[in-house]
Formats: sequence, C-alpha cells, structure tokens
Amino acid sequence: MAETCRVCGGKRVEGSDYCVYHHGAHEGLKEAYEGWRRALGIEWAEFLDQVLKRPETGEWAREVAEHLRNQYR
Amino acid sequence: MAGRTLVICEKPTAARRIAQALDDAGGPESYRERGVPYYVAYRKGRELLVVSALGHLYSIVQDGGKWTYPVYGMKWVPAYEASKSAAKTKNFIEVIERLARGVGEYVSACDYDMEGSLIAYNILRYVCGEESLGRANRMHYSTLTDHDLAKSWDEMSSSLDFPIVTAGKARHELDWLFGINLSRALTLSVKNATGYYKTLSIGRVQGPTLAFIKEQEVKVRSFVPTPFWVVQAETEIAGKRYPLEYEKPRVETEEEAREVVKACRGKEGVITSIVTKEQNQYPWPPFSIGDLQREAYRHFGYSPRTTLRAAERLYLDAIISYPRTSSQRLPPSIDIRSILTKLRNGRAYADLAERLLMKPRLRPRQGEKDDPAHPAIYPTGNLPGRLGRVEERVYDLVCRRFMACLAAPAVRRTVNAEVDVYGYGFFLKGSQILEQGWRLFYAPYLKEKEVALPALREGLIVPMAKVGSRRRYTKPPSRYNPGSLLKLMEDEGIGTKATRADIMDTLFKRGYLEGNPVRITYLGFKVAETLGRYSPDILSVEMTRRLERDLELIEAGKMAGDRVVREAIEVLDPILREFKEKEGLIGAEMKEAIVEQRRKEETLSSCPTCGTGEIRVITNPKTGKRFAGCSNYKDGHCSQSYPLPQEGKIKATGKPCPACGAPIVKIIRRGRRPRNLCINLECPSKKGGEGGGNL
Repeated sequence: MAETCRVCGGKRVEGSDYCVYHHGAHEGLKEAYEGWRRALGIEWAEFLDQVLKRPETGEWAREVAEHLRNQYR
Repeated sequence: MAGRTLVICEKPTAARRIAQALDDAGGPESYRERGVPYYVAYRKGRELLVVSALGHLYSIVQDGGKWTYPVYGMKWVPAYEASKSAAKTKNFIEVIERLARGVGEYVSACDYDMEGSLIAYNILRYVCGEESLGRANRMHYSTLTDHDLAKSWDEMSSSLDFPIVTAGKARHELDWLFGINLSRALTLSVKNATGYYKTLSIGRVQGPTLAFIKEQEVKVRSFVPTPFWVVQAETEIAGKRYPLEYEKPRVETEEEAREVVKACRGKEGVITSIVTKEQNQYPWPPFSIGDLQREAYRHFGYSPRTTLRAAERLYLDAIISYPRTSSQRLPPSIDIRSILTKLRNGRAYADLAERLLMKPRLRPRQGEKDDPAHPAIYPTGNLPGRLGRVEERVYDLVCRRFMACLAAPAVRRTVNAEVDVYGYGFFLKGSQILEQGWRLFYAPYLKEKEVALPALREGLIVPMAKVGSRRRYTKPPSRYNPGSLLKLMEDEGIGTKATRADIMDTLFKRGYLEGNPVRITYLGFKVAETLGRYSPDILSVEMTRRLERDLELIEAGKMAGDRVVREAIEVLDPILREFKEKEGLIGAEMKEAIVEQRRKEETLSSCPTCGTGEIRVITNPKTGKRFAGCSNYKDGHCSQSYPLPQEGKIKATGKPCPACGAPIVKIIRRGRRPRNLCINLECPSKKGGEGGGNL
C-alpha cells in the first residue's frame, strides 16, 4: 500500500488508500452506493459513472470516484 | 456647581445633535479648531462645552520588548502613536485637552454601550486627568432626537457606568492579547521555519468562525448525492387544475415510483377527509441588529457591514434608534403614538400610520431577546431628507417592521383534503389569507403564495388529471452566505452584536474567505486545518464563549476585569508554548499553503497557445513591472505573453475572452468600479475603439 493518498499525494490515513479528506469522501461514496443500489439496482461501476455526472457531487467525492473508476478500466 | 461642563460625545455628528438638543435656545455656538468641531451651549444657566471624539482616541500597544511572542505587557496610548492611520486623533486629543482646562464637571454622552463608555472613560482618564473620573456623569439615550437627549440630560446618572467601562477595557485587552500573540505566532512560524515572511492573522473569534466554515466546506466537498423520486399529480375541479401531493414526499426507489404512477394514472380519487383550520399568524417582533442584517441580506443582498453602516448613519441623523442592539422588544417608555403621528405626516407611511393610530391600544409584539442597554430598533418619527439607496431600504425595513409589530394578527385559512386513489394517498392543499392584519404593513417583504381551493366535500370524486414521477437528487449542504454566517455566529455565541460584521470582513481581508456564497480559500482552509491539527484550542468555540460569559459577568458587576484578563493569560500561555514547540511543523505547512495560494491567485487561465501551460502573472525582477506569460516559457516551449495594467489588483475570472480566447481578468482599483478586461491587446473586441476592451 502506498504511503500517500492515491488521489492527492497527501498523508494517508492508516488502513486507507486516502488522506483524511478523500478517505471521508470514499466512505461517503460507499454509504451512498447502498442508496443508489436500492433505488436503481445498479452495479458499483455504473454508480461511479452516475455520480461523476451529477453537479451536486462534491469535489473530493468526484476525485475519489474518478480514481476508482479508472481502477476498474 | 462651579465652572463649565465638558460634554464628551463619540462622533462629530452626534456632538452637533447633542449640543443643539441641550442648548436652551436650540442654537449652540459652533467652533472649529484644527479641524476639530466643538460647541458651546447654555442649559439652565450652565455653560456646556460639547466636544467630540473620533471613535476611540486611545488604543493598546505592547509595553516594551521585541516583535515576538508570547507578549503580555501592554499599555494604553493615544491612537495616533499606535497607528499611522489614526493620525487625525492627535488634533482631537489636543483640542479636548485645551478645552478641558478649568472645567468643573464632566459628562459622558457617548453611545450607551461598551465602546461608547470606554471612549469617554479613556478621554477623561488620560486627557482630563484621573480626578475627572469622580466628577463625571453619564447620559443614557437610545435615540439622538432632541426630546430623548434632553430627557437623558435631566435623568443622567451621577457617575460613570464603571462595570461597562471595565468590561469594555477587558474586551479590548483580551482581543489584543489573543490577536497579537496568535497572529505573531502564525507569522513567525513561517518566518522561523522557512525564512519566508507573510503577515498571517488569527484571533479568538476569527479562529472558531473559520473552523466552522472549514467544517462546512469539508461536508460540501465530500458530498455524494443519492436519487429519489417525487410523484407529481394534478386533479381538475370545475375546469381548473390543482396540484396533488403524494403522501410520501420522497419515494426511495424507481420501482415504487413507477408502481404508484401506474396504479393512479387515469383513475379517479375520492376525498376521504377535509381538515380546515383558521389560524392567527402573529407579526414578527421588531428588529434586533442581527435580524435587520439578515433581512437586508435576504431582500437586497447587503452584507452585514453595509447594513450596519447604513443603520448607524440613520441613527446619527436621529431617524432611527440606536442600531447595535440585540433586543427584540419595545418597552412601554417609548411613545409609540407620537412616533406614528410623526410618520403620518410624511408621504411614505401616512396611510399605514393612520390605520394604526385608529386603534385604541397600541401594544407591540415582543420578541424573546432582550438587551439591557437598548430597545429593539425603531423609527424615531423624524422624517428623513433625501436618503441614499441603501439607507432608504434599511429605513423602509425598520419602519415597516415597527408598524407591523403593532398591527393585528393575520388570519390564514388552510385546507387539507385527503384523496384516496385505490389505496394511494394524496393531499389537496389550499391556503388563503382571510385577514391581512400585519401583513399589509410588511407586504413588500412577504413572498408566500396563496392557493384558493373550490368548495370541497367528503366523498367528492376527483379525476387524476395528471400523474407522473420525476427523479431528483439529494442536495449538498449550502455554503454559508453573509446572512447565515451571521446567524451561525449568533447561535454559537461567537463575537457580539457589534463585532460580528467586522470579524467576517477581517476574514475576507486576510484572504481566508472569498465570494458569496462564502467559500474558504486554500489559505483559509490550510490555516484552519493546520491549527486544528497542532493547536486546536485556538479554534475552540468553547474558549471564546467562556470569555464572552466572563465579559458579561464584568458588565453585570459580578467579576473583576483584571481577573478575567489574568485568567485569559493563564489559558493563552500553554497554547503559545505548545505552538512554539511545533513551530517548525506549523511553519512548513503554512509556507506551502501561502505558496500554493499565491500560485492560484497568479494563475489566470490555461494557455490558449500551447494548451499545456498556464498563463500566470509574472513580475519582472529588474523593472518590477508585471505581465502575464505562459508557464512553459522557461522550458522554451511557449512564448505566449500579454502586457498587464500596472495599477490595481488583478483577479482571475476563469473565463476566456469570447472573441480571442485570451484570459479575462478583473481589475480592482481603489475607489473605482471593478472592470473585466481581455488582456490581449490584439483582441478583435478592442478594434474600432469601442469600449477599450472592457468586457
């Protein structure tokens, strides 16, 4: 596991791939996915695509979603 | 009573009004010495010398020692010795000193609040001499009308309001101790750790405010929306469409939304119950300063500071009462009928005032908040002359709110009919104002819509004229705006009614905040983040709240001012020592933040020529002149550059010129309206001399 945040290169939170802010956004994404899955029955990858299209998505959540989506490809 | 009486006022405008009100003939002798106005008035055989301060004539400086921290030694000195910008105060001090010679008695006639009391106290103590403090009286008034000033003179207290003075003095000393030490600590952390100098500041109130804004920013930037569905339906009764609300305002799944739509489309519903209520809607209480600032922001977009300044100008013209109040109450001592009679004589509110004057009893709707020093803000009844746009609007708000709080309640009828569509519940809702009451007085500032329903009865069959569903998304929390930030500070007990607007302004001036809605800048975020990590007590709302409570206890005469200052030093000292230990770490992080902030401010756009570089503001080290150039210039990849105006501040707009693609910048010059400018001299928009390239 890299020592720095995979998105911004900041100090990583222990046990996470991300810094404190991107880690918080990642947790938010995981929590929100449950809502999206219930609502639309979509898979994780499609969820990331959808979240990236929404203007309401916060800057850090967007960066993490983009990073995760790139991992999928 | 021997000799003359020296009457000390806070500002020149107030001095003129006070002299005029106190002079038996209403025409005091007016003098001006070295730009300092003063008046000689005669009241019941006494000769009054009415002089003015220029706000605070004395301020705090460090008592010896170097520019370092911690520093706890301080002293009060003439303001002109502490700051070049206070140079004008020198003449005021010297003129008052001359006039005070041979005076037998003194009167503090400054605004009745902490600042006013302290202004007069310092003048008496340092200009007139310690012995003057025992021979000083205090006027207490809430408006600058002749009537109130004369009454205040007749009923003035025989000594200064020492508890308020002590609280004011302690507040200044606390703010100085925290401000000087924390700001120096922050600035020196960068200088000592990296050799880089930039003035950074933080204070006991700025810190917690910035921390709240940072927390909100974290929520906004981490936000992930989730979808939900809203079922939208309409019915038609007697040829007119009415909206129906589905029983669940949010449907969580698309499947359920589809099911509801499918089950209800083209069907008929039956009204199963109707609940009709008639309710009194009571008027809002009169304005406290916070309420007025929020209302002026909501309707006109005025910053709290703009509203406060306008209200203060209206107060100095004796048109409204003292605005720095947290009260929402009007005491019985205010002659409301007389104020309304005067308002009736003006054109703007004649009809409205007349309506109220017809009432046999005039009892204002009182709010919960009270202020021991002043009532809520109200018009004095003095009719204004020609007002500026901001003052005119603020005055209208104050007048209408004052009249509204005296009016009868409005009566609203609400109808809520439940409609059953094969087991799916909908609501048909109506709302109508039956009696306008106070709403008539406050009408320009009310925006609610009315929905009048036709006659309904239980068992009535209504068609589902339209049923559909729309996908919506949850919204991120809103960033603060000046109004909501003010409310947050009030709710959290940060700052005072008099200082909150200034604190917000300071955070903007320091480059920690920008825009509206308020966004925290990179530098502001890093200051809050770094202090939160290494010195969280600086951002602690609890600490500043406790100090505010202590100041209130001093004001109530229940605590000694010296003790509060001493205890604050005991709190501050370990914070500063811990800060010093971590200075290297803090300094390194702050330097990185300063450099990044500067880079962000200097970057105008991506380069339209090479596409990979950034157009940045560059200062030529030899000539000191600035221009804009591509960041790839040093590598020899791109030579794109543009000249820039040499005067004023340049801010990136983030927009390319629609005519040529070069960056558009905002030029901000003191005393001039900011203008947008395409920085490309060859831009087609500048050809033909039309508009000089302004966009």
